[in-house]
Amino acid sequence: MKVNRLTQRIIIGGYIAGIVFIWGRLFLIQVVLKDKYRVTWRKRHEKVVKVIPYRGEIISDDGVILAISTAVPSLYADPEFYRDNYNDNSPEILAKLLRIKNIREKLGDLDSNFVWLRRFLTKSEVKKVEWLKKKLLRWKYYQWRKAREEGKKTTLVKYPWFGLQKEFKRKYPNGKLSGQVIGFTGERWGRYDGRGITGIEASFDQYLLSKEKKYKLLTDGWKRVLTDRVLIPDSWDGYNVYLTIDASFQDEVEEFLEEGVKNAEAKRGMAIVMNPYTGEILAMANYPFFDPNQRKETTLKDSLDLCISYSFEPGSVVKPFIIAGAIDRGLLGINDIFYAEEGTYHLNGAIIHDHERYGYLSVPDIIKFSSNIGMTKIAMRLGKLTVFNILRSFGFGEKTGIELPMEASGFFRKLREWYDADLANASFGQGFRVTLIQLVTAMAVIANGGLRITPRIVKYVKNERGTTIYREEIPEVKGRVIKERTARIMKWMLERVIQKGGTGILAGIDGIKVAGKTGTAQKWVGEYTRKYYTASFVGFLPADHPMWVIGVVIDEPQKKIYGGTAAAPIFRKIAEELLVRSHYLTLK
Amino acid sequence: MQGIKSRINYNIVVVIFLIVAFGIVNIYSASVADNTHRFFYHQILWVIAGITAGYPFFKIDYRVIGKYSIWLYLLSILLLAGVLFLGPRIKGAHRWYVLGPFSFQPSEFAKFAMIFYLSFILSEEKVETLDLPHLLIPSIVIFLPAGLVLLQPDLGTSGLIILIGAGVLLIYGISKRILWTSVASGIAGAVILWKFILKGYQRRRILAFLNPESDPLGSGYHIIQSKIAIGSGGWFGKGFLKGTQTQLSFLPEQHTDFAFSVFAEEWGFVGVFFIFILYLLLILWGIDVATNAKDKLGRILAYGIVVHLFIQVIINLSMITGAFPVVGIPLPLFSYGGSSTLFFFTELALLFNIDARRFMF
Repeated sequence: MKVNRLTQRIIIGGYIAGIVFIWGRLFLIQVVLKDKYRVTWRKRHEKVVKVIPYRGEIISDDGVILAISTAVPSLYADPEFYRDNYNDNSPEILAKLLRIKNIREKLGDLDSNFVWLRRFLTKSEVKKVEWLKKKLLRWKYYQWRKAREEGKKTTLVKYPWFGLQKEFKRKYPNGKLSGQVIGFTGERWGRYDGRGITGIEASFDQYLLSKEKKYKLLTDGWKRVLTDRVLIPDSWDGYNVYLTIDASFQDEVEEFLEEGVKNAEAKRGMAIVMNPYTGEILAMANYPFFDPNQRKETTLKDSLDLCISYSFEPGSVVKPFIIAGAIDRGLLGINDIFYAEEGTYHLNGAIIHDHERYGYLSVPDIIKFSSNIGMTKIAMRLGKLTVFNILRSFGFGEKTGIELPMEASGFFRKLREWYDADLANASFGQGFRVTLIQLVTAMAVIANGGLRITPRIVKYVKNERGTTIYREEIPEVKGRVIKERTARIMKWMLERVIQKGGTGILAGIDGIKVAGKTGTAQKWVGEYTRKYYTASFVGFLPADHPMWVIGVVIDEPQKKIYGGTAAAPIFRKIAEELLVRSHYLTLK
Repeated sequence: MQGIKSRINYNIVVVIFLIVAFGIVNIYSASVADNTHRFFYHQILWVIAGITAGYPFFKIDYRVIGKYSIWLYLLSILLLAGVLFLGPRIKGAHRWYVLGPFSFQPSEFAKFAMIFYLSFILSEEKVETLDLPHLLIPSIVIFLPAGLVLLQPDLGTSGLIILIGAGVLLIYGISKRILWTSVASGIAGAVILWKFILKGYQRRRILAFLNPESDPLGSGYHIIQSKIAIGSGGWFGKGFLKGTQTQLSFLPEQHTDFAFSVFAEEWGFVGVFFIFILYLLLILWGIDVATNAKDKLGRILAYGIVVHLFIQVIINLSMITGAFPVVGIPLPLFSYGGSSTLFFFTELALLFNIDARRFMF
């Protein structure tokens, strides 16, 4: 067999041509024109849409869902698809059905392929959209059939230019229950990104909601959104956040607080219940309540969690801390006696009053009767620097680090701006500002034997595989403030406050040792008046082996102005509830 | 004399193994939407079947098999005729014998049998260039299976059989007169084909190929999607299992005819280049086997097999890059396809057979 030259040439030529051709073809498509095909590919597959992704739930320690996201359909349009396949007056019909204003403006630049027309449709609106969709497609089919009968070749339009896409809307099933703690998200007020604005919703936003806000909707060759096949790079379903708050107990606390504020005809009230060893918050209540579902009528200020963001002059409630610091430093003996000047004391031009006329008082009695003059004399023995340092060591003037946004650090004047009168004022809790969470955390130092801990409100966050991804060391101890022995002395002193003759007698419970301290501070309204007060009670129980620290603040009470009368009864009710719940007390 | 196995070119075994391995991995990706990975496992079984079936075609001297090639040919004709009556109607055509979960495509067998028998007839031929009288029997050998395949109907495979046959004849040598006449009659035939024989969908496919954007939702769809898949792969591709053209079922026939588009999308130009080099090595080796074959049958048969391999590679790649109408020709050894894999292994076994015996006389 001899291959003849012509066929040989044809074969070799064909062989080389084939290879070169294919190679060139692949190179052309994959290298030279790759950007063009990339763009086409992207356009065909992806509609990048900002959709609120699934946001995790906020769940209380007893398993009550406090915040949840539910899927609600939203209406979008594909202006490019409209231009290419419709270009009729159907947008006007849709606008009329749903009362959408300026629909042409919204469709805007017809080159884009995604635009929201209306977020969160109601059921009847969804029905209207479905109805119009059916009508439009029937019309399109009719047109197509007619064109075909006339012999024209057209493609049947099988999809409408608008569609429904499910989005997640935030709901708070328990309404006002711990509303300020939970906070709310920004899916209203023109901000549709669903990010948390206050409360846990804000501070745990990164866990609750995936970082990537953009959804890539995949579409098929007909630009139909494949909603069930959404690819979201770097995006995940939000994680659930579990709180230390016990919802049913929180509900009781809120009820007691509301009752107490109303009884005292006060402006507002706050209450915190905390475990003194772990720092876990069992309840954190604010009155007036805030319902995150209905925040349209209220202002942002109403949604603030005042337990952590409102600072006030604490009054006598800080006295035990100064005394504890002084005893701990060896500057004060438990048996030291101070003369209380029979109720009126002149100091460098300032006059200091006690609410009753006392003569000689021991240190425990200064606490028990809450003598301002006694405290002033102790403070003068300690000096400015020591008093300042003692208050700072208990955490005043510093954020506690609880996992909530907008925590206030309180207010202290610089040490060099303190005058003698300021020292006297500070000794009974005037002239500086603290938050309730600071007071409760400071009281926990005495309750737990001298350790400063970080309060916590989030128990844990788990991811979809059940792995805990947020959990700080509990307890997170910041350091020792006072010795255990000092703490024991203070417990005994604070127990006496609740006993007969003490200021906090209304906080007492039969058969249980309760410890605590009242506070009644005059509010600074340009001057200290006898009209505006802050009444408080912070204490713990059982006194010798504390399980709970409870802090109650009543702001501007009109009827019962004292901490012992306005706040202490609320403390007692909360304490009784705790005792019943933990089977310390059986129901009477 | 050394054993026949010692004469296997193991470099080429590696090349074939790589093509098949990449093909199988790619089928896994192409059919990932199907959770059972049916095609993936089936293809592995078919490769094993292909090696098993190929073994006797390597072990027994091809000259001995050549004497019986008429029986292979007649069996293939019988199967082709039978499938028209016995084969179930799948996608409007009777192309397959269905045996439980597996199906068998007799046209693949026919290609192989035709090449073998045609080579055998030509090897018995005495003249150096074929003229009209010598072309009569070879033409019948080519057009009989081609005609039966056209009845299925399967235009692509039918045309492929004619192309392979013509290629074998060309390599043997045809007189100039016949060559030019057949070119002319080929054009005339194409016109007749277009006017009278082609079905509507077949005509639309060809039109769509000429201008795919004219009918993007219809016949042009395959080509556009394939080009988008390949083009969006770029230099390095999107990565294994990351090709959305594939994973979202945009590509039609993604595990068979368009398997290489899937590969191009996920592995990019670099991966495509690599596979293409493998095919080139395989074809060059086939040509080497053919030129060094010591007898006429070996030479023609080797050329025939190379022509078959080459034409199918070129047509499939042209098709997926939009340079050729969509005709349903799989990429040899790479696309999913039981019968195709089976007979390509048999043909490669014959090539090894010819290669190993070239020093034996």
